[in-house]
Amino acid sequence: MSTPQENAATCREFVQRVFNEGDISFAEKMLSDDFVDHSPPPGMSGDKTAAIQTFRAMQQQFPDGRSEILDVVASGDKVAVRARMTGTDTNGFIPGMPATGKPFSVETIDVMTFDENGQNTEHYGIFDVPAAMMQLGLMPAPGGG
Amino acid sequence: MMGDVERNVGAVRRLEEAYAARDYDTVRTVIAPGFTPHTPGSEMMPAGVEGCIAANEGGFSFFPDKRVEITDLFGDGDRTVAHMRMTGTNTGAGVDWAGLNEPTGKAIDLDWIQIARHDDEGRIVETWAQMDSPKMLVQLGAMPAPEGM
Repeated sequence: MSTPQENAATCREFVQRVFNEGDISFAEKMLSDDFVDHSPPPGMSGDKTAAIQTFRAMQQQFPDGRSEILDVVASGDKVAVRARMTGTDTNGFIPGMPATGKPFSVETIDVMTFDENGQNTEHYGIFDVPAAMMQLGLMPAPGGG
Repeated sequence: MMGDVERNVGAVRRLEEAYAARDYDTVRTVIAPGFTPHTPGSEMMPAGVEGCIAANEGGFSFFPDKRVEITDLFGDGDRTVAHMRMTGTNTGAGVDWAGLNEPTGKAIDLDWIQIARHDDEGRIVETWAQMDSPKMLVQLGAMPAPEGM
């Protein structure tokens, strides 16, 4: 039976290995076979295969991407992670938008659900898309049009 | 500690009920006077709890039938995490963003996640939140749906 503390540690290791070191194999191990992402990128399904594809795509979109964890809250089978994601929009970071070559720095909040074996079964996450689009010059600031 | 977490989780529920009822006396007791938001857009609001009240009133002015449902709520230590779903119809004022100066008459259905820090009495002193606002702009017709959505 995995504890909230163990699940939180898994999330920290996931951010470090998958996002910061590019070790996708850790995601393959951590996600359960019946994993469901409730907030997949546009056009993607929410299953495990699609999630692994998304992690690979992120490495392409912003190869210098890093995620720094700012807060972790774990209780029962849930873990929430607040982080700051930084990188350079090298190959098109915002779906449907051209690559800008500009840097971005935005906050993210993700909530993960774990099963009794400590595997990640569900995910819901939101990042500050408007801030990213404003930083990349893809959207005017509120009030500015 | 478990008692504190239950109290904090109860404060989040009470706050959402008070927002729905526009019961701002209760809002002012659940949110601490020196409240600091870290939510995108909050810098455009009045400081402290009055900014929360202004944001709620803004929500009702855009979406008079606004409803918020807490879909997930848990806590640990001095933190709570709430995943919420907001529905409503933009029959009031225009949202004044992305060219939406007039009401669209369109319905929205979107999520946000809020992490709150509570003080020793359970009052909310800080929040960090992310809302799926691109989805709102798509639903209101200000932005095309990304491919495949």
